[in-house]
Amino acid sequence: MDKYIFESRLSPGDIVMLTAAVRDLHQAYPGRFITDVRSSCPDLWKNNPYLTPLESSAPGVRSISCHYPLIHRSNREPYHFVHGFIEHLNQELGLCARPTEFKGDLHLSEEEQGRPSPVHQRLGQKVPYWLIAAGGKYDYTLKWWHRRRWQEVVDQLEGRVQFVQVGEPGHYHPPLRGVLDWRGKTSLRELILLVYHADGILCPVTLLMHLAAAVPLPPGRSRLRGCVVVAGGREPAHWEQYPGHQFHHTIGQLDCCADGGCWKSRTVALGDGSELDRPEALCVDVTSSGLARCMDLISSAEVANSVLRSHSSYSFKLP
Amino acid sequence: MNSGPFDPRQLLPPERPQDPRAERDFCPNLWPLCNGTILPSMSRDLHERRCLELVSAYYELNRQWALPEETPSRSDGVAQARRAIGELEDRYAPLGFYGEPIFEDGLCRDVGIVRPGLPSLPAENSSLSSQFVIPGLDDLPTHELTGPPVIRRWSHG
Repeated sequence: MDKYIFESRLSPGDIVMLTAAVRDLHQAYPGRFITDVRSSCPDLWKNNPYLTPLESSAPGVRSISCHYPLIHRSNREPYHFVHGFIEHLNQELGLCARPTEFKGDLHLSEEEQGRPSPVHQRLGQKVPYWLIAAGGKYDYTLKWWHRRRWQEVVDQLEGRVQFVQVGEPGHYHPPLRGVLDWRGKTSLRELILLVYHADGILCPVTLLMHLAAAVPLPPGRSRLRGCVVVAGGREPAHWEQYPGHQFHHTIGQLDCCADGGCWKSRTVALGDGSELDRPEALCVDVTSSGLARCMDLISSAEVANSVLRSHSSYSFKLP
Repeated sequence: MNSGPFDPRQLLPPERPQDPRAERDFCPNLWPLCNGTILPSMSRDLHERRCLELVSAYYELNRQWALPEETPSRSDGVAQARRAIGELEDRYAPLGFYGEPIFEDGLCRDVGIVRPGLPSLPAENSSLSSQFVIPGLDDLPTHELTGPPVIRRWSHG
């Protein structure tokens, strides 16, 4: 059997997509490969049945740096991110594996699935909740919606949807009123468990959106986990959107994203010395409030409506 | 939201932000810290000047809050000071600049403000290997392997 170590130090959302590629490789070629990974996010690989510990120095073990060059054709060709890594592996290894599921491949242990939700543990009672990420990293600030818009959504749904705000310390996650504040309080694994028990997720294009699809559903839950994504015009919707997700985008609605995502990096220059401040990486249509126009076009009312639609369609069936 | 063009100058803090500490009626016990330390009154650093603006706005909130409860203007003053903080954070929102105040007995004692670090790839964190992977390193031209640092990122966000 061929032995491979797949390597990637990309962001967690990217690594979720790599889990899909490893699954699809084994589904297409059962018993042909022994695989291991080296990634920046070991928490995403816990309980993964497709991994076998391999030493990179052991005889016959080959390491592959994993990428998704397919992204450069994403505006023209009908591919989702779930195709990205597996297409690269196909090219590297001379294979023809195809995606087998429309999601990443995360696994929870029986013990993890049996635990009450972290919110339940904290509050002492079972409370249905939505996760909200009202910001993001400082690299691709074009993904940010205005902090007041997120607050408006929370305010409009007060009494109907309980939000739990999450976000990594050091990233831009301004505090919201009327939410449970869990910013900076979870490890990646704990975040996965929060997703597992969440009714739904509200976020920009980010890790949480990938987790919404990739984290298994609790037993008895019949419908897909709700996810409302405020996306704008940076990325082609077909590249990012998952089944059941409500993806608020503006592709085709503005000159700057007339026939695809602009793939720009930042709304304005941050002056931090990053190459992401280069003029060609900056948004070309910024409103006077400093919000990318594609994000400005998305109203809090339509996002709140989307949450409500997903929320009311949520149902349990007895196992 | 507004629909006119964006003026990047709105992200520049005043060259000399008004510093309440220079005023005659300054109350040192109402001056909040910034990330646990006392801000310098003058700085060429844009981030520090924005911090001074925000901390000054919280100082004004403290000043209004500390007025005797029977003061007729107290309630309006507190509301006005809160609005000013919100407007400042709106102005700098495109930069991701905001404060996390720590209150004690109704007074803001410290304002946590994130200074964004240079975007970087996630720290190597795997317990599975000691191998250190730098994707794209092989593509670097030889002349860039020495001399001043050049920042690169290969992910697509």
